[in-house]
Amino acid sequence: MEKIDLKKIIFSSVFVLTCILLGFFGQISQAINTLHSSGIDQNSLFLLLITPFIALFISFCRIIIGINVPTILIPTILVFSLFIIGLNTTIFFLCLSIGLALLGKYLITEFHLHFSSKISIIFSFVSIGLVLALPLIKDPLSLTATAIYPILIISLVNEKQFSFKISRSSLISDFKSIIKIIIFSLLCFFLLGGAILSYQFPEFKQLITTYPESVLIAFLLNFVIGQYTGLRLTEIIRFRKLIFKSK
Amino acid sequence: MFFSKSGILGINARNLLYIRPFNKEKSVEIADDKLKTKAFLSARGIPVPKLLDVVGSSKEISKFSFKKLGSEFVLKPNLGFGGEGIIPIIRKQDSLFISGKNKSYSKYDLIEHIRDILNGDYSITDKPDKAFFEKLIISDEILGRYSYQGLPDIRVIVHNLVPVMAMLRLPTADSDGKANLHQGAIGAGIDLAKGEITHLLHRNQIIKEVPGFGSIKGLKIPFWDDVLRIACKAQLATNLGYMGADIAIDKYQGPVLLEINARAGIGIQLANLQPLRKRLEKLENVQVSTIEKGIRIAKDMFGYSIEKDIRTLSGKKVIGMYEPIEFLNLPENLSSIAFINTSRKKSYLSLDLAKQLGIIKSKKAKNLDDVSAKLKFKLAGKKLTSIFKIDKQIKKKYQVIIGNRDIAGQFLVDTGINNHISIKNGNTNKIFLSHYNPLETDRQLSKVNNQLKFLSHFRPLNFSEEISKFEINNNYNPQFVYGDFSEQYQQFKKTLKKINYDETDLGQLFKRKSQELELQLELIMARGSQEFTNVSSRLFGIPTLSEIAEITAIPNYSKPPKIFNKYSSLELKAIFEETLNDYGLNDWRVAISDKILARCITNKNKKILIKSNSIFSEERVKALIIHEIETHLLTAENGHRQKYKLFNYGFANYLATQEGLAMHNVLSNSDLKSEEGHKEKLTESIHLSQTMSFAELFNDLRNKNLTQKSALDICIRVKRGMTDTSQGGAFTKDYSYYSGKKIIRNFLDQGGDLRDLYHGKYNLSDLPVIKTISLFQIPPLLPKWLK
Repeated sequence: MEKIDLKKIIFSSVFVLTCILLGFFGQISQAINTLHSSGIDQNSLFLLLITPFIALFISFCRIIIGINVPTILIPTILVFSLFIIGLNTTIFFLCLSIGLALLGKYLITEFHLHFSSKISIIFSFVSIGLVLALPLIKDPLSLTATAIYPILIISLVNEKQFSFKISRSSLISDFKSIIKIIIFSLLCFFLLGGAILSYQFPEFKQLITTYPESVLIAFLLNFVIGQYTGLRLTEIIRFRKLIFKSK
Repeated sequence: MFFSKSGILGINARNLLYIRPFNKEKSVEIADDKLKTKAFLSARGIPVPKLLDVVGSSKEISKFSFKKLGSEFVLKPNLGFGGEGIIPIIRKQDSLFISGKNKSYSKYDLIEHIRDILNGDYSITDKPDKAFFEKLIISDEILGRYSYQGLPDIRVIVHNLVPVMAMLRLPTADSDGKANLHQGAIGAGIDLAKGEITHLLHRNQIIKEVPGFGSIKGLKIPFWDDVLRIACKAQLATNLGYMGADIAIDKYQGPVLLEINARAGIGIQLANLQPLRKRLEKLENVQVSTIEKGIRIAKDMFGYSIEKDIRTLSGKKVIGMYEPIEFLNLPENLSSIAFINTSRKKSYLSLDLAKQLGIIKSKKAKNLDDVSAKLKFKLAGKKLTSIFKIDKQIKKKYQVIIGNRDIAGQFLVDTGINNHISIKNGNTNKIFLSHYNPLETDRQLSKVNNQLKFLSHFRPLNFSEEISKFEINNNYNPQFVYGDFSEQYQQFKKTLKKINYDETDLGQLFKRKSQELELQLELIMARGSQEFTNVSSRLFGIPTLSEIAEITAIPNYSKPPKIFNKYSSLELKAIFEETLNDYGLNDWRVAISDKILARCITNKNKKILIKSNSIFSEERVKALIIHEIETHLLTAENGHRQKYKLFNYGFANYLATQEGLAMHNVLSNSDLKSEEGHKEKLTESIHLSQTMSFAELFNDLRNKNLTQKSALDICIRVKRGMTDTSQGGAFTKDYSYYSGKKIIRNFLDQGGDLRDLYHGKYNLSDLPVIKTISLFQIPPLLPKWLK
C-alpha cells in the first residue's frame, strides 16, 4: 500500500508543478500567440484546445451519468466537422455516408466475399458517392474546408459502431448507438459554443480563446472524475429499490 | 461518495476497485477466449462441455465434415460475447440440422455462419475469430422446464475464493432463448446457504412468477454445493480475483462450467435484492485457504436462511422431529434415534432399548410404569441428563421419545427439518442418516412408472394371428400369448422397496403411487390366471350390479348416423398439429402408428399417436381434440411444468379422474353423444365378460346392433390380459371412463371448479393435497371454454 501512495505523491507533485509552470507563466498563451502570428487559423487552434474538453465530457457522461458513449474518436470528429463545415452540411454528409454504407453493405451481403474485400468495396462505394455529392454544396468557401471531410467520414464508416451488420438483428441496436453518438456530439458542440438553431452559449468559447490555460481545468476535472467509485446516475435510477430498501 | 453507503456495486467501483487490481491481464485473456478457458480448466479437473471440433481458418472449412458431429452439438464463436452467434443443434432431420428454436439449417447455412464467425462478425474485438463445436448440454429437468428454448445457467460471482452472490438465469421468449439479463432473460436470486430461489427479476423489474410457469420461489438448485465448488475451483485455477462463472446443470453430466467472465455484470444485485459491494467489502481481510472453507464462509456470511436468524436471535439450536441420540457413560456407548415429541412431558425409552441398556431384565417385567432410569445422553451436540420412563407403545422406527421437559429452553424444533432416519435390521448401533428429498422420491417413482410401460404388457405377442383367425370364424376364442415378465417383476419390486417416504401428506401421496405401481406389477403377473379379474378390479374398480342395471335400463343404441365428412389418419394429424399450434404447444409431436390398440392416444413423451389407416367422422375429430388435446395433453403439459414429475406421469389412481374429465368435456362441448353410449357399452361388456367368452361377448354385442368393428374393438379391450379367452374374465381399465364420469358429475354437483383438475394428473380425492404442492394458483394452460 505504501508503495502506491509514494507513486501517487510523486506523480501528483510533478503534475501540480507542470500545471503551475504552464498556467502561471502563461506558456500556453504564448505558444498560441506564436502559432497565430505565424499564420495558423484561429479556428484550428480552437479545435486543438477543445479536444480535452470533448474527452472530459465523454468521461463525465460515462462515469458520472452512466450514458455509455462507445467511442471517443467518432464524437470528436463529428464535433470538429460541426465547427468546420456547420450543422446542416455535417448532418447532410453524415446521413449520406451512413445511407451509402448501409446500401453498400446490403448489396454486398449477396456475394460471398472475404471480409476485407467487402469492407474495401463499401469504402469505395461511399467515397464515390461523396465525390458525386460534393458539388451540391453551393458555398465555394466551405467546399475547400469540406474536402478533407469525406476522408474522415469514410474512416468513420468502418468504425465498429458504424459498421452495420445487415444480416443480424443488431441493426436496431446499431442505429440506437449511432443516434446516441449524434445527439451526444450535438450537445458537446453546443456546450463548446457552437450554434444550434440560432441558440448559442458563447461563454465557454470566449473563456478558451481568452485564457487558453483554462484547458488545465479539464485535466484536473478528469483526475477527480477518474477516481469516482460511486454509483452512476443511471445506476441510481436502476437500483433505486435496493437503495431505498437498504436505507 | 454518493450512495456508496448503500453498499451497491456500480460499474465504476467494479472496474476501479475489483477488476483492475484483481484481474490480471493474462487471466482476462484466458477468460475472453472460450477455447483457452475450456482447455485450461478441463486440464484442472473442472467439468466443461466436451469440445467436438475447431475450425480455425477458411481453409479448414472446405475439409470440414459434419458427419463426425452427430445430430446434437453447439456451434460457437470463440471470442463471442453476450450469447451472440451461438447455434445449438438439437436434432437432424434428413440432411437438415434443427436448432433449439426449431429453425432448420442446411450444411451450407452452417458453413456460411462459420465464415461469418471467422470474419470476426461475432467477436468481442472484431478481430478474426475461430469457430468451434461442443457437446450439446441438455438442461436438468428441474431447471429446464422453466426456460424457453434455451439453456438456463447459474451465474456465480466469486471473489477471494468465496462465492459472493449467485443467480439463476432463465431464457425467455423475450430474450430469444438467450440467458443474458439485458436481452430479457429472467434472473432469479439464490440463497447461497440453501441454493433456493429467492426473487425473480425481469427487465429490471421484480416479478412474482415466471410467465406461463408460475412461481419458482423456494425451488432448490440441484447439485448446489457442486455448483459452488466448480465456481471456486475455476477461480483458483484462473486467478481472476473478481469472476463470474456460468454453470449449467446437464441432465446426464451434472454441473458443467460454460464460461468464465472477467467483467461480470452488476444486475445480479437486483435479482437477489442484496447489495454486492457490501459483501465484497466484508471479505477484504478474510483469509481463505481452501475451497471448502470459502464455501462455508459464503454460506455463513451471505446465506439468509431463517434457521440461522433464529439461532442468532435466540441463541438456541434448531433441531428436527427426529434426531440422533447417544447415551453416554455406559460400558458401551449406544446410539439411537429420538423422536422429539413436544406434546409429551416426559422422555421415554422403548422396551427393547430398556432391555439393551439393562434397565429391565426381561420383557415380562411387571409394573413398567414404576421403572425409570437416569441417563446421560448427547442430543444435537448438547450433553443432557434426564429421567426416562418406559413406553411399550414405541414403534420400531425410533427407540426414544424426548419430551417437552428436556427440550424446553434448550432447543427450538423445526418440523420442516427432515432428517429421515432409518435403522437397519433394528440394530440400534447402526444409524443411517439420509436426507429425505421428496424430489428424489418423485424422480424414482416416475422412473419406475415410465420404465414399466404398463399397457404394453397387455398386447399379446400373437395378436394379429389370433384376431385374423377370429375374423374368419366368429365362434373362435383367441388364445393369446404374452411376453415373460417375472424377471422384470423382481427388479421393479426391488426398486420400489428402496424408495423412501415420509409422514407428510406429500409422502403419503407418493406412497399411494408406489402401491398402485405394485398393484400394476401384480396385474401384469396375473395375466392369464384366475386371479386376473380380481387384481384388475382392485386396480381399476369393477362395475357394480346397480350400475349395470342403470345402463341396461337405457334403450339400445340405434346405428350411428351416416358419416358425411370423413378424415383419414393423415388429415387428423394435420388438424391436431394445427390445434397444438393454437395452444402454443410446439414441442408436441403427432405421429401415426400401427402398434396401438386404441385409435388415438396421448403418450408420455410429448407425442400423440394416431392409429394408421383409420377413418374419423367430423364429430369424432372434434371429440378427439377435446379428449386428447384439450384434456389429456393440457393436463400433461401443466403437469410437466410442475415441480414434481408425477404431475405429468400421474399420481395414484389418476386415470378415472382424467378419463372422467375427458368424457365430461366431450359430452358438454361436442355433439358426439354416442361417446357416452360407447363407454356405457364398454362398462356393460366388462360386466358381461366376467362370465362370457370372447366369441360370446362379440356375438352379444353384434346382436345389440354394434358394427363388426366396434364389437371387435370392445372385445379386444376387455379381454386383453387373458390367455384363454374362452374363459370368463375381464380387463377392467375401461371402467374408468364410466366411473370417472360419475365422479366428475358428482364433483360439479357439489360446486367443484373444473380448472382445479388441470394442475396435472391426479385423483380427485387428492385435490386438497395437490393444491398445496402445485406451483400454480390457476393452471397456465386451460381449454378455451374454461379460460
